[in-house]
Amino acid sequence: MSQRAPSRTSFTESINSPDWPHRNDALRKLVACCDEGDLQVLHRLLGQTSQSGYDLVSALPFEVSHHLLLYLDGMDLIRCQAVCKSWRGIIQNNDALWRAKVRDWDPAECTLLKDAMDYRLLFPRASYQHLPTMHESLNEYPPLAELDSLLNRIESRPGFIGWKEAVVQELVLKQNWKWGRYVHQLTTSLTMDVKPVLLAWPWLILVDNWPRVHKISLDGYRGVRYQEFPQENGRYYQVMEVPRGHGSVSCIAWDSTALTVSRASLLAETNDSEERQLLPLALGSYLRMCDPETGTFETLPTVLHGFALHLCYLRDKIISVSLDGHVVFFPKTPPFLPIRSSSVNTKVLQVVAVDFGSRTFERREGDLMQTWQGAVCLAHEDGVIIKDEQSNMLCQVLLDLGVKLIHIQAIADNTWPYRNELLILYEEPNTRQRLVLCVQMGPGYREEISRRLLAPSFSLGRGGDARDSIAMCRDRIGIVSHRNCSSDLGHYCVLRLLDLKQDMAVSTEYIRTESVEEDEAVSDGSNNDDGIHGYSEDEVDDGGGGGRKLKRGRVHIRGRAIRLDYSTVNKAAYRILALDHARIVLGVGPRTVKILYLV
Amino acid sequence: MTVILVSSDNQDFKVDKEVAERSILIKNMLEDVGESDSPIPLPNVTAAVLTKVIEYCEHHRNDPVQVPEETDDPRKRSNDIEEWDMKFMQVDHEIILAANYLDIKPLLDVGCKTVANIIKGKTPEEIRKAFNIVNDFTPEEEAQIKKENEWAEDR
Repeated sequence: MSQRAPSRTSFTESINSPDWPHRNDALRKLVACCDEGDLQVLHRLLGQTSQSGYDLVSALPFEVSHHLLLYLDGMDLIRCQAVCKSWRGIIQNNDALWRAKVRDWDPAECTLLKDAMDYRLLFPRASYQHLPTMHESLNEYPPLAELDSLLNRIESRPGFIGWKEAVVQELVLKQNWKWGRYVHQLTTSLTMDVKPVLLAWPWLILVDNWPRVHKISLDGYRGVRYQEFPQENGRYYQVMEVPRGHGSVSCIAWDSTALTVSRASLLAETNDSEERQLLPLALGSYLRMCDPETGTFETLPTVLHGFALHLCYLRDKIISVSLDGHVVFFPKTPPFLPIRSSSVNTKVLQVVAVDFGSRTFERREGDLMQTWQGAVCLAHEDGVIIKDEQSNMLCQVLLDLGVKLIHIQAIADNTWPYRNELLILYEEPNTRQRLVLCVQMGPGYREEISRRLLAPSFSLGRGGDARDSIAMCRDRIGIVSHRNCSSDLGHYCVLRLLDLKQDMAVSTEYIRTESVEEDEAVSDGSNNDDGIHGYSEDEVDDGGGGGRKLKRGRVHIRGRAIRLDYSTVNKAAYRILALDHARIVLGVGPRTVKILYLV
Repeated sequence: MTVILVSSDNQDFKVDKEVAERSILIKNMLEDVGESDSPIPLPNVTAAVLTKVIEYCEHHRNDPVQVPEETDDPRKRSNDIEEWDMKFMQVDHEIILAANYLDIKPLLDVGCKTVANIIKGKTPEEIRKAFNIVNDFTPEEEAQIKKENEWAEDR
């Protein structure tokens, strides 16, 4: 048994002494004689007095407080860091804690995982035998081993910002979407009108009327150093001139599955290998293949049925749709001889390709066995036609009479949570309200299961102005509507960002008021006084002053509200060109493109 | 079969072996000691806390023993506390410490979840009030933290 308290009389005397040093001494001696049990008792007694701030979390052994903190979500952890020094110490440098938070997220929504582009690579072996129903997927959790290996891979990359930063960035992104704020903006003005635009992180592809193809690296320009970037050929910006063709470029396509097909093995070793991608574009009724690396173009030997309106990739094929509804399937590789052609006999408004990864679906049609791993959705005014890779009709989604389809978006997750939905933005004939219909598709888009209206509590505004533009990305919709005012405000634009999952809408707009001076009005929307930057690039290290100074993390300053500035010079109108989970691409007038980064 | 547990303040508690074995620590001790009838000392647990712990174990004596599976459901949810447990659990940190020492995982989980529920959704000031914590940041540090967390403020 360890020695208990020192001899009573001397202790009592010392502790009752009016002299502070004596009392201090007695206390020190007491504590020195205490074993763990005694210290626990002391702790309890201290906790019961109201003056001293003895708190639970600091008193717990590390693994227990870690266990406790795992139950809190990201925002709670951020707030807990501000409580007191010991809490801050426990939370801030606890990498495992922050990593566990990242693990908790839905991989389909997490920016870190999406931008890492490994997301597609990570789950290539999703079992195709087991197709979970809608109900199942809600309770399942993504395969942990695979998620862990992805996180390990991200962690081992050079320049990894740390798990805490990753969580904070994700939370910043969520907050910015919620409040309509951006942290960084990039503007580029071209000399000619811009028509097709493709946003495929990390590239932004613009085609102007020359025609020239501009390939811009959004990641390369993310730092605060760049606000407008030089249009020279370089690592971040490539310009290619399309050899003289007939008319202007109507559409261009991007192969987002190129990585999985050819580079899966290589990417494990190399970190930034540039993928070689050919960009097909349509000039009138001719197709050209553009190679951004070499800047060369190859004209395809075939002629399409008239003017090509849409182009997209589907697994190993390219699909083109012409003005009069002819759908032609080409292979991805030379000599690009068309495989199949059929007609839908209606004007196709939009084409969306859906890739089911390694899942294969089959169906018996009489004597034939149909199999498919991807589908293409062709939207026309009255509904959507869905075909498989062999151009067979899979199913049709028809809208009610009079309803006008505006835009579609397909969500097909090949991994947990296995969502398989078609979102249709349409306009109602009587009220002229714009609403979103969500159609649940059966496995492989074989059948519709049910339809439901998303977010009926708000609509996207009455009636469409012909100048309105819409972009969709998973559950987010961005729409720039033009409003006319009867007063002398003229017309103004409103950018609305809608989040269907959270039933939330953010509107940002700009109204010109009397107080705005003429010389303040900015031309072409370029804003050079971007005083508030996203985050400080330099990590400020603490001087190591023995724990007195706080270790500084990056400072994420609240971003600027997204406002559309009205230009008085050439009455430029805004339109939204593209959208993804962390960036918005706006067009200001015909020649300027503004990219807003939300993280 | 009963065992005798002795708290740090020398109070004896007679409990069924089955109940006592909810604590992995006690279970291991009993295995080491074998058939002997000697009381088991628990110098880190006071009588008051031990009473509560025994009460918990009695109530849950028939629960299946949870095999520690880390990969089971790493998504930590704190909204699935049993009603009895909620009433039982006052925020007594001692119980959590005792549960950790005695290695009774379910009780530890319940304790942690309860505390987590208290912390959730509160601002730092409210958390300080709830746990009686003194704010030991200097004004400069406070300002720096505020700046760091500016983005988190809702408007």
